[in-house]
Amino acid sequence: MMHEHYVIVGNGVTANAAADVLRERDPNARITMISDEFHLFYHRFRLPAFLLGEASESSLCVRPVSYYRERNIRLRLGQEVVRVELDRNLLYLKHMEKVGYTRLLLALGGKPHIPEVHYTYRHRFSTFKTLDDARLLRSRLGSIRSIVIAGGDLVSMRFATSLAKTGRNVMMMLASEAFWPLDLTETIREECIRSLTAKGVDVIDSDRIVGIDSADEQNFEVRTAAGLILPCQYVGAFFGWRPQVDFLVRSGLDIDRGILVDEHLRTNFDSVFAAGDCAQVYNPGIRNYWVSIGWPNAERLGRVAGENMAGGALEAGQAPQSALEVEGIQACTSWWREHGSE
Amino acid sequence: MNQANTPDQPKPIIHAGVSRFLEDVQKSGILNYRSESLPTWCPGCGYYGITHGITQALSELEIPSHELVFVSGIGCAGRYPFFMKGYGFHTIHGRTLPIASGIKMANPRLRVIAVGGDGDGFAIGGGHLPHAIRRNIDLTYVVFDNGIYGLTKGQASPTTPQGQITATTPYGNPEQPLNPTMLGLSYGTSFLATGYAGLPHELLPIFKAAFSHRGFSLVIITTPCVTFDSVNITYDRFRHLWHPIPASHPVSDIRSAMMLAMSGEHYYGVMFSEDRPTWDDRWETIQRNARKK
Amino acid sequence: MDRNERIGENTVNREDLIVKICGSAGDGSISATEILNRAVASMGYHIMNFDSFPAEIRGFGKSCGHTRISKNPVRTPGDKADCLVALDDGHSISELKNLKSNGIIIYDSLPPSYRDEDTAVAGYIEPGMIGYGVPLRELSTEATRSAKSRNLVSLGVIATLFNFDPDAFVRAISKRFSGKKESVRTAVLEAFRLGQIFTSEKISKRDAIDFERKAYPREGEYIIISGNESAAQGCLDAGIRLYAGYPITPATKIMEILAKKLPIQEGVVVQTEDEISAVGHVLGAGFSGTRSATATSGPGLCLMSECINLGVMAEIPMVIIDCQRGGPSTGLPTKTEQSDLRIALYGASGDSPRPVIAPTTVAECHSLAMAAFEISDAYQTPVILLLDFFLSNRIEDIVPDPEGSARWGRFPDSIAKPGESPYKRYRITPSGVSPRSMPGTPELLFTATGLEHTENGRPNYDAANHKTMTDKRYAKLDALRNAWSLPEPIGDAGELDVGVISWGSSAGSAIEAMEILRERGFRVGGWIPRLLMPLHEDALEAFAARCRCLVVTEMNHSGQFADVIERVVHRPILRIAKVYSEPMPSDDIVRIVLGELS
Ligand SMILES: Cc1cc2nc3c(=O)[nH]c(=O)nc-3n(C[C@H](O)[C@H](O)[C@H](O)COP(=O)(O)OP(=O)(O)OC[C@H]3O[C@@H](n4cnc5c(N)ncnc54)[C@H](O)[C@@H]3O)c2cc1C
Ligand SMILES: Cc1ncc(C[n+]2csc(CCOP(=O)(O)OP(=O)(O)O)c2C)c(N)n1
Ligand code: SF4
Repeated sequence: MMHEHYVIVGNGVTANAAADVLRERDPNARITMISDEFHLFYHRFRLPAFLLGEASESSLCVRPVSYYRERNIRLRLGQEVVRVELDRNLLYLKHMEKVGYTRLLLALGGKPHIPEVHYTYRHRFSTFKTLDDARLLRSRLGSIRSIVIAGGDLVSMRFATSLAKTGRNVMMMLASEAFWPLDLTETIREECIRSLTAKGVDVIDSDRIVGIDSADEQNFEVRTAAGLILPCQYVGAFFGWRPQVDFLVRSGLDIDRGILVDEHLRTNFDSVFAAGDCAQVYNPGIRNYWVSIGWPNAERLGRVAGENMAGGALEAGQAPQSALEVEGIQACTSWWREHGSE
Repeated sequence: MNQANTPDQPKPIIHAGVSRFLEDVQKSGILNYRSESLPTWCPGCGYYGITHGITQALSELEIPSHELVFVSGIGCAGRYPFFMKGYGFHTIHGRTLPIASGIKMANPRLRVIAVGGDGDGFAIGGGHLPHAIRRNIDLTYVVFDNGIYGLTKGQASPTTPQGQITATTPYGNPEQPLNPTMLGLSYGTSFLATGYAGLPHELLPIFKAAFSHRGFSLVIITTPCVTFDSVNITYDRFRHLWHPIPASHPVSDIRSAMMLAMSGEHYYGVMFSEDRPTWDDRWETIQRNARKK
Repeated sequence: MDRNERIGENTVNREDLIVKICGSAGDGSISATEILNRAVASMGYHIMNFDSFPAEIRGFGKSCGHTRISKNPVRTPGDKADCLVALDDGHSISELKNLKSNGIIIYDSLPPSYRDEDTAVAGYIEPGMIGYGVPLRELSTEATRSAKSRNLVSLGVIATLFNFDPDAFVRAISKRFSGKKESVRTAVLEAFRLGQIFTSEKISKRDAIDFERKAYPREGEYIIISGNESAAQGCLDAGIRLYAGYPITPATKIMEILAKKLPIQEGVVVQTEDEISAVGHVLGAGFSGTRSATATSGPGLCLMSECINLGVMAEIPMVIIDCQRGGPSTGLPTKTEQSDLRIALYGASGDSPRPVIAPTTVAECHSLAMAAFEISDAYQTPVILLLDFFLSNRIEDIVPDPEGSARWGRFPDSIAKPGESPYKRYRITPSGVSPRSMPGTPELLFTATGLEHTENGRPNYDAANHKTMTDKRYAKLDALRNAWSLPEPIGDAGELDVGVISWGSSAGSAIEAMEILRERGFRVGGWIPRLLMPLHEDALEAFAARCRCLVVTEMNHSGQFADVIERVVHRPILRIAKVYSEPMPSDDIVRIVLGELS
């Protein structure tokens, strides 16, 4: 009999939760995890603490490599999937290798989003999602005195306040569209400004960036519509996240903002599943899709995906009560716990 | 555990081309004489052609593989027994014939086929050839004569032409080459045939005759070493040089055979064959006489 | 904890780097390695390069250059590589087991088409390793219109990545291609440059290896050669006029070198029909007063043993170089082993004394080969020089010893002067050495024989004479022992926790292990004789008396040298005798010794 070959793209919490379940359910199957990040699975939410030197790099690591060896899970790190042929069960890796699967889980997560209007100077923005991003910034931190944070999504709040604590001059340009997946209601906005200001962040409201100049790629000047010129050494893009699905666009997968999956996390291809930050999950209760964001959510969905790939029929479950609707998408917020204080 | 996928043990890479080739060959029946190991010779090596000829002859003669013993010395040619189905003895350099003779003497029912390179047979083992011939021991000795030392990467051999540049003769080979055919004839072999690996289909009758001969049969096959000889025995140079031995040649006439051997032309076929008592025949007589006394 | 259990950990190591360049034959991995060697050696780094190739040596298949680069003299090729350059994915995959768990892989990121699953080396990059994708083929084609210069592109990557002085590479490449057309030279340099540019512009460095473009001045003119080349040069410098040999791995190279060079020095090279004939030629040349040599390996040495024995009996100078390989029998032609010691020391019928010498480095292959000829002439005896696959093939940067053989001892001249009458070829003397006559000399005629003989060389089976003559032959060993300079112990003085005795090519591993043990706080010393027969037994006993734990390391199964030592020191020995097939890993010595000490 041919064994299953489960391939999981991603090495975040979704992917790892799914791999655990798959190994429990199917001790003999081949399991391969592929991620374009080089690092072992790490606590993303501790990156701000790492940045400030409060957490060591090794404390970020969730599991050692032996964990995978013992479970005979093959980890392909630093390897990017650049194309898929889902009707032939084939993935194409950037280093020019084809990888086949019998069942596939897309646990791609999200990536920081930079709105179109900033297109011409987008390379001057930095993003903060991965350990590599954090390492780079940490190595530069000594020479950074002023920081401009553009957008203001959920991640940015902690990022901004943490940096302000270090005595650096942190300026936050709130952009309403950035608050995705939450709607920046008047109440939330006021609450944000109040708490940020109290923690030493300068909030610049009702203005927007129109350009970023730089003489030496170390020092920047952010120009705003209102005519402000903000000198700084770091411009962070925090306009919210988008599912990381660009390479899937012509794959035949149904994709909206994220990969559309049914309540069993199955895509429109029978052998392909998606879960975590990259998926838009159908909720039969509300007859609509919702986007999952956040660690606990991702972990739960990862387990559900694992069960279903191994032949189960679990439901992703109700979108939590405090789901909000943003741009026609149901977003859940209840998960956003302060992990960082651990 | 799925070991094949762990990086410590990379999966073997199976060359699709080879397996398809094998399928075709399977049908011809000659694979019955091939072992599981694929030959490790360089692609294009003449030894593949020789192997083809030998296996074809064996399968036509329907010799059971358990009666076969392939004995070899050291060299690329020496690898031969590993690729054949039958008993095999990969001995040491140059000692092919003494060991093959011992096998045959000890168990005359076995069909012994000794093979080796020109270095193995005419240099280090050269001293053994006349004596195996004198004994007329009933085995076939196939010399894979590529005019070079293959396994040790291209040094001169006893059949390398004078003047040829090799790894050990960077200023040209100072020695004159042997004429192996003349050598075999003048030592008095009871059978001698020659062939060319570039004409594998012509090898069938040659090997059939050699394997059917009672007594010592010497088969000298000229064969290209594509890796270490680009000037002497090459497919290009030899393409049109080979002729069949003329039908008019009286095969039991040693003088006529010597004329062919000295002609400087390249002939393939049975050059000499004579029915003579073998080692076993002679010992049978000796033993009979001894009992009488 | 496994090194790569921790995230992104990489040791900064600027002093010691192991690079492997792996491809198919024809991919230029060996020539790239040579250029790398020359380039870094010209910056003052030391190198040891040991190319490994599979047992089936042919014109195709894997070809892999392995170089260790260090600020300090390199004693072993090291265990696993820091960096693997993959010029061929299939072959490189099979080399991954020889890469460190945090090693670097440089691979072709743009092969002409997608590869099947598990046939791309980049797919095997383990967590903790670092992969750098470089479009080697594309850049090579851009520079030279062929994929053949991928090796040079990869040198550009290495030079930039590890921050070596690029000019040194440019010089080494130019030198390598100096015989070629200007346009070719420009193109290959462009290939190197494209590798540099790509690396500095497109690769974000994730490893921490940085040589900071440092250079170290060095004394003396160095050359980069292999052990076989060094030994061959020793033969030439000793003035041989005849070399007779039969091809056999790993000794053939010596013959091939001499086939080129000896004719220039009015010498002759014969490729004989077998080793019996080869050593026979050498015996004949020695009889006639001409220096000559042969080199072989285990199977050949077996064949030679009868003629060597004749050389002992007839007191004929001759030098036999044995490049050992795995045995017994045809064995493992391309694997390293030190298991011919016993046959070298004792492989003969009768009581057959013969000096045996074992160089430990490429430089010593030269000076000790020269010493072997001096000894063989001075003491009128066959001398066996023991190399092995590793020592024969490893390449080092050496400063040839200006003293040559002289550093090992001063050996008397034993040529007879006409006038003695009657001339006694085998006259009994205190040293056992009789005045030797060169055939062709009037008045000093003699007949040599393998039969026991009298002082005049006449056959004689008298018991008393046989005893006298046997004593005489052994007396020569005592004389040699006295003339040879004492083996100096190395390491700590005084009482030792550990004393390491080693010989031949694996001595480097022993020294490396000693250094590690000393760093761990033990008092460690070493005794590494080059003259194995006769042994300096007094010096050995004095050394052994200082050691709490006495270790003998060697690459054979039965502890052939340990047996020799044990007979002298009469005490328990920790034997580290193993067939590794690869150069002896110093870690293994450390591990076993620590186990014994605890
Ligand atoms: C700074 C920061 C702070 C956060 N703080 C909190 C918090 O306090 N609380 C909370 O609940 N959540 C927090 N989050 C969000 C939380 O970390 C994510 O929701 C969660 O990690 C999502 O997990 P995932 O497995 O779906 O995706 P990810 O963790 O994003 O993993 C997806 C993986 O897939 C890989 N991948 C994507 N595309 C490809 C491809 N084509 N080929 C190969 N690999 C690919 C990616 O590189 C990535 O490694 C925070 C996030 C950040 C960045
Ligand atoms: C006693 C001894 N000497 C030398 C060798 C090394 N050796 C192995 S094969 C060979 C010669 C190979 O040439 P040939 O016999 O013509 O065979 P080919 O490889 O060309 O088939 C030599 C010299 C050995 N194995 N044993
Ligand atoms: S080296 Fe020559 S003789 Fe040996 S296998 Fe290759 S082509 Fe044949």
